[in-house]
Amino acid sequence: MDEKKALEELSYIKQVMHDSRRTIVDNGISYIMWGVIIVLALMSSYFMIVNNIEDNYGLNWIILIAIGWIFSMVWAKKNRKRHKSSTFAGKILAAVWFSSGIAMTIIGFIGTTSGGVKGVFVSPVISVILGIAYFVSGFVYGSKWISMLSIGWWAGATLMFYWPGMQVFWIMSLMMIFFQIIPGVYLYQQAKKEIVQ
Amino acid sequence: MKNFDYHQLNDIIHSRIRLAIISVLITVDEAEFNFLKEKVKTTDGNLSVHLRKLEDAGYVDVKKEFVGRKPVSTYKLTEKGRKAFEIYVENLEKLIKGK
Repeated sequence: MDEKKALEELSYIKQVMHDSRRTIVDNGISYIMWGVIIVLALMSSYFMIVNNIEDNYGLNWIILIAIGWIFSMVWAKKNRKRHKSSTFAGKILAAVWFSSGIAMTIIGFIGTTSGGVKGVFVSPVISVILGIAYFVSGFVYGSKWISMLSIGWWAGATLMFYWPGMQVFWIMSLMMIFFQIIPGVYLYQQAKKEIVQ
Repeated sequence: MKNFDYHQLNDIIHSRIRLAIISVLITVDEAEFNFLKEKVKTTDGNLSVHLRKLEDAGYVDVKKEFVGRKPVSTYKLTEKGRKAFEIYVENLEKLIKGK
């Protein structure tokens, strides 16, 4: 084997490794689904408060979050069957998002019903957790723009902590759209491109 | 390139298909047969033969199970395989640098 052949061999190894790693990329479906669910829950809560129909306040959250968890579990099961490979990075991401989801559900339901967390501060606390999840995800993906989304979540959390009130529903909804749904759609398009390639 | 001993290149890894298999397995924890076939771009028979050679050398571990009624073989690189791959790449680099 000469130097030229060795170089070809090394570049072949790199190409195969790169091609294999591309399959790790998230398809963004969970980001879109959870983003839409939270926006629906926030907006329905807002309109319930504005129109004084607060008898069933909280029920909208219970129903929507339950739908989200059922969808997530079905999706995870389906993915486990479809994914023909597993990576350590993928396992870390799954663990980060699963634990964040549990933490947010506890804060949203147990925190508010126990009186430990005031309803108006649920959104900023959840934004802080989402900031951590995005920061770690970006780091694991090796994607700066995903990590940068955490700055948006943390800045939004700071704003909502200092400026509590009805506007929190709108701020949180806008953050969900710009820092979760739109990035999710972008990831979905990227994943589709990868499949075509 | 005068001092490089070509025998330093591991014969088991020094084959396009086996090199590709190990290059894929090094990026994942484990991979199913079909995933490897898709990435290595070869036939079932060819892939099986090369995987068997890697298994015999102790470079990959195989786990066979049934998912539903379908038999699924999952492959994982062993520590010995990982080390052999690292040495192989190091040797290629030495060859390029002319050491």
